[in-house]
Amino acid sequence: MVVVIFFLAIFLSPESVFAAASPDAIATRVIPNPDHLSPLSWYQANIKKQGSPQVLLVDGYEAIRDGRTVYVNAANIDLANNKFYTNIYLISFNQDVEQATQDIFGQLLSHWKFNTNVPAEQKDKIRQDTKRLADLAEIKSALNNYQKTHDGDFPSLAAGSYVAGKSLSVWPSWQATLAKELGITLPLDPVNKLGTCPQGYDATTCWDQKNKRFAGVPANSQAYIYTYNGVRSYNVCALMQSGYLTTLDQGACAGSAVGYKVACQDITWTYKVNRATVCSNQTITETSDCGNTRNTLYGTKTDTIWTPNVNPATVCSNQTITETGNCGGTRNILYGTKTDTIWTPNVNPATVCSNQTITETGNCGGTRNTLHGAKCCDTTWTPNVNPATVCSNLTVTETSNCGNTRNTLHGTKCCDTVWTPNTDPATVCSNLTVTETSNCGNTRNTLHGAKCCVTCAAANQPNCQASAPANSEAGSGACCDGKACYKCKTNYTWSGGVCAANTRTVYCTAKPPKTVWNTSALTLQIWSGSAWQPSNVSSYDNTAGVCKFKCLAGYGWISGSCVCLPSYELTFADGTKLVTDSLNVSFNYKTIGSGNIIIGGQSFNARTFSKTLDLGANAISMNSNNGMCDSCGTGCDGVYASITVSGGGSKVLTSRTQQTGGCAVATNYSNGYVDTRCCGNCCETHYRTTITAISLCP
Amino acid sequence: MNKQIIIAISIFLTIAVVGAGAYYFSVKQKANNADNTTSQSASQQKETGVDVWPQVKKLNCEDIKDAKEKENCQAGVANLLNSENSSACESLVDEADKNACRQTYIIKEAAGSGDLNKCIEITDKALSENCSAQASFSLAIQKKDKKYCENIINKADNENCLKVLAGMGVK
Repeated sequence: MVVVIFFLAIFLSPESVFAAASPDAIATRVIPNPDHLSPLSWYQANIKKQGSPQVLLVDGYEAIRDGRTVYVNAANIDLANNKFYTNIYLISFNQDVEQATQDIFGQLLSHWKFNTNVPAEQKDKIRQDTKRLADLAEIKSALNNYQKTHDGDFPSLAAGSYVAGKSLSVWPSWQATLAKELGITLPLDPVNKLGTCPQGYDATTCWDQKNKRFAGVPANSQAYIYTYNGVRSYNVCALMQSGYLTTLDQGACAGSAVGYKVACQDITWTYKVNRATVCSNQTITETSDCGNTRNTLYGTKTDTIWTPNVNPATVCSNQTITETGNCGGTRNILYGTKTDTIWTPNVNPATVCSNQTITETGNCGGTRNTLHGAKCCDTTWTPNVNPATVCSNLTVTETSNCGNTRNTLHGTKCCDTVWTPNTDPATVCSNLTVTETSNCGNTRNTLHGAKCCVTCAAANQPNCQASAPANSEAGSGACCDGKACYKCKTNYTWSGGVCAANTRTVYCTAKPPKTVWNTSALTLQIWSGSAWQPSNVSSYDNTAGVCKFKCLAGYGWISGSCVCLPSYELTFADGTKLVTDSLNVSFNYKTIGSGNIIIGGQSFNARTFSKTLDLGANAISMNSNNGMCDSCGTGCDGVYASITVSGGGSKVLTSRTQQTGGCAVATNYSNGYVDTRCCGNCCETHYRTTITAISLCP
Repeated sequence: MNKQIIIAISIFLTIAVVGAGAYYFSVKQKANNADNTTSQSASQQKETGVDVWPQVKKLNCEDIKDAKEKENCQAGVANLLNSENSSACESLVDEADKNACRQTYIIKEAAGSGDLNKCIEITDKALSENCSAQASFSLAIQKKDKKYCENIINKADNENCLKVLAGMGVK
């Protein structure tokens, strides 16, 4: 409505461009529509000189136009009181208007907006409820007309509807029965749709044809409902959507939307106090057209009276005093009147030299320097020794006037600190010294050679080798080229490129008495790595070997020593000897004839016999001559008489040798001589001897 | 007369005493010269500190009673047997000692060269076998080879040869 007035103000204002240019006028009027009639019904009921109005829509509301006037049935929502009104909005222009005015009128119609105080989504529901109220008015009008001709009664709908006495705009009976009864075409709800019907019921009518039952009006339904209440009584209502129409007397069926509220938009804020009386840092309470309040900084008053927060006499003159204004503001101004009266040293005087000043700070922040140091500080230093006796690179201890000491570089004596080699160390072997001259002209010899020189050069040693030869160990001396110094281990000698084990010839250790070396008393030993081998320790052994000894003849090895054995040596007259361990001598006598062998003057006639020699006699004469050669024949070779001793030796006494042509006969019966005689073709030799037996043990 | 007799007797006694004294010192000096060659040489060795040993006349020092003299004798023998060549053996008096000494050099030569045929040059069979046995033992140790032990006839020496090699880790 305000918008409309705004437009009209523009167009109708005397200062308006339009007004100035044209005498045309556009006027509007608002007429309450308590019966909620449609524009056409209202027109027919209230306009005396009626024309042929045309139906149109203005901002979604039903309207009619009759010539220069347009009638709009639109709702007006009183949000504060939650009321739903309908008004007839009338807009018109004068006769004989210019085309431009007619164009403006058309634009006004197309841009005319109602219900600008409600949300857009709510506006459609309000339009539809407005239409419903108009339809209900039309239905009621028809029912009133029916009543006049039906004895004051209304259609009972005893038949022709699902439920007797009731019809819904979504049911077939709405037009087929009720409309027919009333003789008009009944309007339908703008939505005309029931909500979700229960299972088993028709989705459009919520009627169970099979069981002849009505499920009732489900939620979210939009329809008109006629109910015959009995004689001369009825109800007709609509299922409203806006929420502002909730009661039957308002035309709303039970189940209509209830309680929609639109938040009031605080557009206008007003305050009730004079801003000039409120400080600019204080809020003013404003109240809106919706009755809400808010606090905003709206005061315009400023500080004019200032009050110091402290007594200026207690504040130093270099310090500010804070003042507070009558509006709560603060400011700092130099207002103190107090001066420094108490002075405090910034440092402990005991830590400040007596010749230095101390800064003091006053209680008001002022400073001053005063000679208040109490500490003895070193100012004069005296050397403890004559610097001329101290090297220039050494410190001299000095003592201060306070008795403290310090070391300073004060020596003046030239001392050797830098030494320069006289020859390039790189040309001198590392084991040789290099003469250096100092910065003071002195010289010294130090091991400074840097040249690698081979000093590992011992005779008969491996010396410098890339790797350790077998049986070698580290030697002394230097090697180059990554080689190391080696020497053969003890008892090894470098020979033929290897450390060969040493050999030596040693005398065997002393042998026991009555022994004789089997072969040699000397032995060659070789170093085995841990000992000389073989051992040169003498040992008894009859077999020839290293340091082996055996017993002398006539002795035997018994219990670790050579002891005398009963051994005898028989010496024959011709010098041959036999050794026997007993004096029991066996004789073999081959009897040829009848002669006997005579030994020791005893005659024996036996093929073999033995006789124990009489040691006491110490000599035995034996004559094997007797009985010999009494028969000669061929094939006479062989021994005919011999003497055998237990030691294994034997001595032939008589033998025959076949010798064709005879033999030289020699006869010598002396002891130890041989006689030879010819026996046919045989030479028979007889040995006549005396056996001398001696004991071999000394 | 008496005086003359007394003078004659005095002259005689004087001559006798002097003669006896001269004889005594003469004999003693001879004894010292003859018996102390070894100790004199030993002293010489001590003073010079070089490898100078008394000239050794025989190999067997066992019959020397004096311990020091015996020690010097043994040192001299050791030096004799281990000199550069066998010519040192010629200082020995006894021919048997000379042969024994020479043989040690033959053994050493055979062991050093590894040529056991050198032992065959020794005509005496027993000594030749001894040479072969000793040289073989040395070769077995040098070459760490048991096959040389087989040349050792003496059973105990043969076993010792194998035992020493085993001790050296020869398998």
